[in-house]
Amino acid sequence: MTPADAELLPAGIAGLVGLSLAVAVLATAWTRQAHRIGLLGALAVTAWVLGLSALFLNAGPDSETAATRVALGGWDAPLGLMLQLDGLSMTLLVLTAVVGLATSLYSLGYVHDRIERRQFWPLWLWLWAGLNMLLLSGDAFNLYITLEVVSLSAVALVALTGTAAAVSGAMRYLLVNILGSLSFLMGVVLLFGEHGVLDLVLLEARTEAGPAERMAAVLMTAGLMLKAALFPLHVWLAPAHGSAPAPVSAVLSGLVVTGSFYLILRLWMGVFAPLATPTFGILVGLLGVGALVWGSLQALRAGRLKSIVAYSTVAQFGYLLVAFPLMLVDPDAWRVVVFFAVVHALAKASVFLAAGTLQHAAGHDRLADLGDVLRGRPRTVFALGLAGVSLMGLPFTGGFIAKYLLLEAGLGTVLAGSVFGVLWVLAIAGGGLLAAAYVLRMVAPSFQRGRADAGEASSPWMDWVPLGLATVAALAGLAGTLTLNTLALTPGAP
Amino acid sequence: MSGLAETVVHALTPGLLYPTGGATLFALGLYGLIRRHHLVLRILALNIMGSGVFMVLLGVAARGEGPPDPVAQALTLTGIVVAVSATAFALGLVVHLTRLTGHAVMLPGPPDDDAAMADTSRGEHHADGGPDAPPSDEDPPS
Amino acid sequence: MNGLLVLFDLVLLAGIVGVAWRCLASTDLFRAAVLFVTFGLLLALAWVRLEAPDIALAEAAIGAGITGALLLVTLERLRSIMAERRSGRPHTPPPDPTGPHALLRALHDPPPERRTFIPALTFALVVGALLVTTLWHQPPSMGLEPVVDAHMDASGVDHPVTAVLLNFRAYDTFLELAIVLIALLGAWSLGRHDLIPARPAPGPILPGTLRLLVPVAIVTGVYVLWAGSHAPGGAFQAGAILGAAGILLVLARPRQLPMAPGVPLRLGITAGVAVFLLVGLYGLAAGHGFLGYDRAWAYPLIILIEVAATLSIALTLVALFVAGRPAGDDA
Repeated sequence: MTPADAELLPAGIAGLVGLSLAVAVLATAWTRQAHRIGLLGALAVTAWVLGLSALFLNAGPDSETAATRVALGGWDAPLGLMLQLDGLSMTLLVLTAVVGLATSLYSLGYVHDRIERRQFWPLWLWLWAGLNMLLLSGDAFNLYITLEVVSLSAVALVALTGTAAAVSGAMRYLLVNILGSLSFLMGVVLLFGEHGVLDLVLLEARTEAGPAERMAAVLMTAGLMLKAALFPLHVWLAPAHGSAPAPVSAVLSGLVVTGSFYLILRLWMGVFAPLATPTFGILVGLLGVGALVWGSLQALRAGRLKSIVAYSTVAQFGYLLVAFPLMLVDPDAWRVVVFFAVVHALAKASVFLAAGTLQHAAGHDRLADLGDVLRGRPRTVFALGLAGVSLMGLPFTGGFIAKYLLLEAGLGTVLAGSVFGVLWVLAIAGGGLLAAAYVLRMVAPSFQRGRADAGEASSPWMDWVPLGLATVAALAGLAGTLTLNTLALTPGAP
Repeated sequence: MSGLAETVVHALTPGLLYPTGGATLFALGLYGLIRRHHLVLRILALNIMGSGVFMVLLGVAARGEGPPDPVAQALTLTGIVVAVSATAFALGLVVHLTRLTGHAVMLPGPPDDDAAMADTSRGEHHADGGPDAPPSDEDPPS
Repeated sequence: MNGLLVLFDLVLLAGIVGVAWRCLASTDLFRAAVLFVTFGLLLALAWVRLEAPDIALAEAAIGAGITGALLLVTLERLRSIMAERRSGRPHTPPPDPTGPHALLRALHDPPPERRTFIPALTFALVVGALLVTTLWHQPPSMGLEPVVDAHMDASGVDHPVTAVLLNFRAYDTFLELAIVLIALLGAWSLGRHDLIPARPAPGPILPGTLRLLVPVAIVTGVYVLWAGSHAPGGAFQAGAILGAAGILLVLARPRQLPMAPGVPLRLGITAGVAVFLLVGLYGLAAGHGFLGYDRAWAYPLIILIEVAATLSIALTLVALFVAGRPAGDDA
């Protein structure tokens, strides 16, 4: 790493935070131009993140030189707050930027009512800024604050359309979020009381498998599980998605839920690492199997397109839980899990965007009556199918590579003599079949005979962006090695 | 005072009593959140849970002989402001929910989400109230 | 002496928990709201006992005062809305309200059903017991007080809590201001203020009292803001006091918002985050790091940020009380 790079990386990190916040503040102050500010801001932030990733990858061959910490205001921990960047957060920042850009472009077409537009863009830009800050945060209390920024803006976006169903879904989501945040905060307080510091790196050095850490782990993980809609604390997800605008659903299932998962992973790899025992791993894995089965069954039963997609989020996150015991046995498995989460986020976001276009065209999203529109909009259905294929894990897509690597890790545990390993392998393979079933359910009417009706005309953004994002999801497999190598640049990884 | 009484009194420092009180408030708020159905009471229950967390934090900060921990106090102040913001937003949601559905009760469990809903993308800003909520779960208890 | 303090603590805690319990157990929502305000005031006493006067100020102003006002006005609006729906025509508030009880007595919540009693109680008791036992076994923490103390000279202010809030951990405070703003954006996105039932016009007592009260509130707020640099106080407490004055003004003139709609209001509510962000970016450009200050300039910059923050917080709290976006905003 050249000396110039050493200067640039911390400035780039702080600059990303500053830029995201500046865009959000500007859109809040000048709402009449909020959509233009939003578009320019989306492009600027995406460009900055890509530039930062180039800097980061050039910075060093191993995690010790690449991972960077920035002391805000010049005050080092434990006095002040630190931002941190490593392979894990860099990968997710790129994911957030890609999905964020796609959502912003889609929203240019979707949110066209002049009044609604002025409320949507500031809230969306705050949500994006909150996600960036969450991924860069290195302080436990600051994590709570960024979680609140993300939650409040997400709730406001869910309620945006103003219908009874939307406000009701938003109310439930808000109550669940506040409960999750308070649980998380109590955990932070326990850790602070025990060790006297809030910085994640300092905490990691000081924690052991003690009662305070155990209680804090339970509280913080439960709070994050509520926010991530991880089974069995997922009750809020489907109603919130059902009535949220399509771009909001895309971000909710793609980014917000992934952000909570990121935090769980970050905490368990770092601060709570002494607590991760094999028994605990098995318990989590069983929860994951439950999520897979239950979520898939609900997706097969649901009558509305967006409900199917929402339940599929619950099911796909079951994979992440099933992978937890694998991570304990095979240290490299965590990178595969994160790769899977990335591909899922891309695919899920594009499915929601495509579903939004179809719903706009037809005026509703009841699957039984969507046949005409499905037949009349081949481009959108192709996007839906392409993203669905990635979710299923068909060969040559990103989803395939992720599931293949997970299966490999699972078989590894079976060979190592683990009884539960068989269950995990069956779950991963079976989950793929169930995913195929509900994805086919979504697109099947387009193969049947019947009338084809393109429905209500929509903006070109709404036509092309889902296809673009679905292509990215499918091609993510090509970037698999790069992603796995980037993820390896994380200090303290098992 | 007798030896035993003195030991007890010395043990019951603010650093012990107030975290216990805070934990009690947290549990009490949690109980209220589960049991009561009116949204305003649920919001109050969450506020009480939050106050419990702050009491634990300040109690922990007041342990020991020296001056109290200013970082803990700064964190609590931040937490109070966040709590009032969330409460204000939540109360606004309750008012609009009541305006749209006629009641302010949220029963536990998932609502029926397969009912037909209006398309959300056509930009109709429902300034005068949207369609009523789906039946069954949302009806208030008699 | 020690025994008396322990007794005081025990009585206070019993009172706090007792009031909280009665609040959550109320069937009458008005009673629950009043009990919650009482709870907030008792908490302020507890914070004083825990040597946290800044927090006591904030709890009394924000936790009890502002939240109490929000609760009572929400209950009133709920009752108006339900009355409108029942009678099918717009609810006209009585011209001369006989008192809060007449307006709010109609809001009840029936007691909860029996079958959730055992599971909820067990769950809450388990969580509480686990927390208590964890807390009893913690070592006395070293805390961060010595670290803060060591850096107070470089902070630009004399009060440790203000130093932490606006210098050492300024990022958290900035995000806190952002959260207040986001809450307002959320409330505004739900609808215009004319969707919410109007309040009755007040009798003569309120405007008359305000003529005396508002100047006192302004002076107190400004003093608390300035005092924050060397004594308990600061932007949030000052913002809450000024916000409370603003709320009283709104109550006195329900048909006329005391603040200008449109651009000045937008600028006012974003002033806090905007100034904070500009100072932060300037710090980044000048080499002190994002949100870093040059030692000589720390005090003036902190005061500047606090003034902008106080203005924003006051305006935002009043706007949250009004709860709908102004009509001029949609143009």
